[in-house]
Amino acid sequence: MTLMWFDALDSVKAFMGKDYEVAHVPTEAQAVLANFDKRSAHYTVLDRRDQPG
Amino acid sequence: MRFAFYGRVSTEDWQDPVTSRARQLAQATMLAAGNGTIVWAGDLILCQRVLPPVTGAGPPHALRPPHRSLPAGASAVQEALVGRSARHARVLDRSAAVGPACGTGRCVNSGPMICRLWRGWTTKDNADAYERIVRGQVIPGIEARRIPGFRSIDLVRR
Repeated sequence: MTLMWFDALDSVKAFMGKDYEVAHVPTEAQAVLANFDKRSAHYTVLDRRDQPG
Repeated sequence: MRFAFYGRVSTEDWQDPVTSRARQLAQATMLAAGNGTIVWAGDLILCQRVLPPVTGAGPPHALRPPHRSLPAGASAVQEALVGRSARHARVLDRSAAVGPACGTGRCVNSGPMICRLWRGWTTKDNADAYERIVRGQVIPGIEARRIPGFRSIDLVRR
């Protein structure tokens, strides 16, 4: 599983284009995957609370 | 007669928090129909999924999750996430930020605003080979593009 962190959806579109949900899975990676998300899910970060220590 | 039923409906295929929760709620609603009322459906809200705008004819894109349809009436946009049971994965790699710092003024706690989540499954025999490809080729390839606003990438293994 990968989690990619972007400033905004426009940054995701710069990565994948207009249909930005499409998964980025190069052929060589597909060859060793049994299954994978064909589309990525995107989430708005509501809060991030770093902890001390 | 009163009775309480605590249920969770999920399979390996239903691990996406949005679709899984929506399905569980739909299943529970069907079970309860005519027999009772759902008085509590708990979840922990951490973040909200972003879906592309609905475009074109046919099934609304916004209601078509990566894997299958949501039950009628479910709103993916409004669906809050994260199921009751936590899942754990080892962090294999955490790349340094590769894009410029957030300049939108909208970043939460000065961090990135959007998390793009993708999952892949492999056999145990292929897991190490896959990890080598991802860490050796795929992620460096993405980083080399220097995408503005791309802050970091985490690779985790369950």
